[in-house]
Amino acid sequence: MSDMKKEASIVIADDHPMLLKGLYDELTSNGYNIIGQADNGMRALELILTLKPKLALLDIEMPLLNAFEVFKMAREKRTETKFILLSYHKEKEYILQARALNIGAYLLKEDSFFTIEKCIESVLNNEEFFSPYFQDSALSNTKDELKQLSHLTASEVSILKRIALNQSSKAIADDIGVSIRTIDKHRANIINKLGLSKSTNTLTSWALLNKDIIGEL
Amino acid sequence: MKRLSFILLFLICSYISAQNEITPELVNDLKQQIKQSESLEKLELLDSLCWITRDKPEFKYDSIVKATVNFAIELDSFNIANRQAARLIWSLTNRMGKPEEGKAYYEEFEALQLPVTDDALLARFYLNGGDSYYFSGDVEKSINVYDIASKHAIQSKDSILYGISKKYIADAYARLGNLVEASRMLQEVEELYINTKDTIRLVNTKSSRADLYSMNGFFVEAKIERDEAIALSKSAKYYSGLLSALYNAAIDNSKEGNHKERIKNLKQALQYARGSELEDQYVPQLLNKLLTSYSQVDSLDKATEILKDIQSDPDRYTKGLFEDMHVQGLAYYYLAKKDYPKALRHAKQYYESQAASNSFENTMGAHELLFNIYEAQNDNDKALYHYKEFTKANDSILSLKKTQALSYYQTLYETEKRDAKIASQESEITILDAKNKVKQQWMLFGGIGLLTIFLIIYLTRTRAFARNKQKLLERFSQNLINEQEKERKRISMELHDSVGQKLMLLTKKTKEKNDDAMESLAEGTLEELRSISRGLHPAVLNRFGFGKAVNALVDELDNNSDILFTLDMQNVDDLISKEASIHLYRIIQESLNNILKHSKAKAVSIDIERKGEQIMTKIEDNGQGFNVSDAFGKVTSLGMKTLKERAKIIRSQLYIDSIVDRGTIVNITTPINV
Repeated sequence: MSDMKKEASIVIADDHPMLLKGLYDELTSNGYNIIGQADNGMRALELILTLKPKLALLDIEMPLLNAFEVFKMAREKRTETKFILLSYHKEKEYILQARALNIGAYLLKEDSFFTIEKCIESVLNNEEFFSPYFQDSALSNTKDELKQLSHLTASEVSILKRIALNQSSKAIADDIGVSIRTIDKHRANIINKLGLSKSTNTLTSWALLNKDIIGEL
Repeated sequence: MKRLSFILLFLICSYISAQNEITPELVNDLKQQIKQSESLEKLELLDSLCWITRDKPEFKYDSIVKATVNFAIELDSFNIANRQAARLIWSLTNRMGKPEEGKAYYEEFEALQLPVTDDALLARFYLNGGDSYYFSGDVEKSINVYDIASKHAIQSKDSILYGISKKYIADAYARLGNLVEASRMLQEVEELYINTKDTIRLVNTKSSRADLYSMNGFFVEAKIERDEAIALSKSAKYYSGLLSALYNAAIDNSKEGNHKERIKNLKQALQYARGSELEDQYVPQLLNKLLTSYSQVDSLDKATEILKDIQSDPDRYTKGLFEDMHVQGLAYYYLAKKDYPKALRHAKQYYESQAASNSFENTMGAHELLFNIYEAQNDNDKALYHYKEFTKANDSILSLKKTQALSYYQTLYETEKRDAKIASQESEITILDAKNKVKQQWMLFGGIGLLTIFLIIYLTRTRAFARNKQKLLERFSQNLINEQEKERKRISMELHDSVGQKLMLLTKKTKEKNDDAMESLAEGTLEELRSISRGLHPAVLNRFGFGKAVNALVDELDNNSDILFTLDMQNVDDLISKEASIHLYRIIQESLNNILKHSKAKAVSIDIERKGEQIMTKIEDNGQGFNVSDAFGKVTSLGMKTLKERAKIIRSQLYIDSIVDRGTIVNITTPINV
């Protein structure tokens, strides 16, 4: 662990000097090897390309280039540097964007140093790490299949709960006051998100099977 | 009996015409018969008696007439009464030289006011009545009476009587010195005779006008009338008129001193007079006048010739009416021959006879003659006396003429001036009327035009002003919204950059202290800050575009409500600018917030799709709905107003369709690339 710490060369970037300094102080005082600091995206990219660090901890919102852009450009230059995003934003879209770019680490800036260390460790071990805020406790220890439940919207969850109570689409539609078509649309979306087979009663069977878990959502 | 009286009447008439002599025996016979007869027969005989005794005082013509008139009135034969009365008045006035008596009888008879039906009779009656006044010297009264006569003449449609009445009125005016009125009357009469083609009366009237002019010294005007009268009478072979005109022309020539013209006219008159039925009346006068004329121009040979002619028949040419004229001629003749004692003798004789007859002008002529003779004899004292007398008379005539001429011209001038003034005033009035009319029309049309123009200007200006004001208001509110958006974004960034960063640092630190309460407080605060800054400005919209932002918005609302959200969205991120997308986002956000707050809906669907060149956004709920016009109508509905303003900013059409208890549909149609 300590070896890994020392081996890992790190570049950090944040346009907010106080946060940058705080992060730098925390990391260095804990034995991390900070080889470069940047206060904008362009500078961060330059450091990554020239210093080729093992890790880059980047604030998403930065002047000149944001973290996603830095990542894309660095990848285009075939850097091996692993990225950890630090952000103020908790919106799902940011996570989705990070996932879409295959950036497996996303932290909120208020996360504790302990969390940061865990994240660095995970990343160095080629594992994903997302801020605990995004980890659903109920799903944390469940199968991968069930982990997909986190991608459902609140409306989809409510429909799934009704399905789990063995309500027909018609019954649900009548209850909510919408058309069956709307309910069927939602069912199709749920099946897609959960990666279930598209045969007729699969979702109903699956919902009945996982009734307890769904009830806790 | 009646037949007998007719036969008798016939006998009387034939007797009269045969004998032309009324004997006292005949009159007595008739009177005898009248005494024996009665009523109408008696009246007829009385009428006959009047006829044969007319103008004869020896038969007591006047009392016969008066008796006849009284009897006729008794028998209600008013026309006969009137005719005989008129005849008596004429006789008294014009024949017996008793106009006063004529006048008295006229007044007496006129006062009876008999119901006479024959207007011609009445016209004659009034004419004679007028004469009685005229010759009594009551000229002004005569004009009134003649005027009544003229009115009856009109009633009887007798143009001759009408002409005579007017002529008499003219004479009366002439005598009063009112030449203008007299001349006007005569002209009127002339026009009447021209219309009735009565040449003889036309000639007489023209002569009267010439006399009128001549009397007042207007010889030029007089000559024009005389020449016309001479020409007319020649063509009509009206010798009496012709001779009278020529003779009077010669008198005018004499007054003017134009002896040559005078002799010419006299000779011409003499030529027409010889052999005519007026020979006896005219030839003596003409010869004696010629004698005077030739003597005055010292043509002694011709004067002697004329004298021989005269002396060939002294009875015919030198006696009676013609004596004075002859004496005058001789006086001039002997003066020309320088035989002054003879000339003086004749001149004195002439003077005495003229002075005795009160002939003013002739007396003056006699004075002139005597002056010439005395002067030739060098008897200066006597010459001077007669010269003075002559001059005195001449001056008085001249001054009278001058006065009359002055008044004539003055009246004529004033009449013409008045006529011209009236004519010019009338034409001025006409012109003014036309001008006024045009002016009024112009004013009316101008007024209406101006009013219309002002109204149009006012309306256009008001409309333009209102439109400008509305545009200004719109622009203002749109600017306000844009500025608000910018400000929100700025505040959101500020919060993120300052408070946010520090709060994150603080939260991070609390996590190291293992103080759960402090940690959750810090995290809660940070969460609130995030929520506030997200509300102020959606970071996702900036970073990931419109679609993701709408997704995040719906997700968040979905998470915080029990409503079923169904989002069906095509990727339109590239069809809408960043500036526009914030407004469309806000419209969706506001609509969804409204649904959450007010609709009590169980489900909401959001559809965003491209249709041709437009992005169609539909937000539909199944809530309780609302009355659209009410929501828009309320001034306080700021949310709705803002919605509309935002739609305008991105040139979109916003339709809200809501049915109570069924739900609401918000439709936004946005042109792409806005």
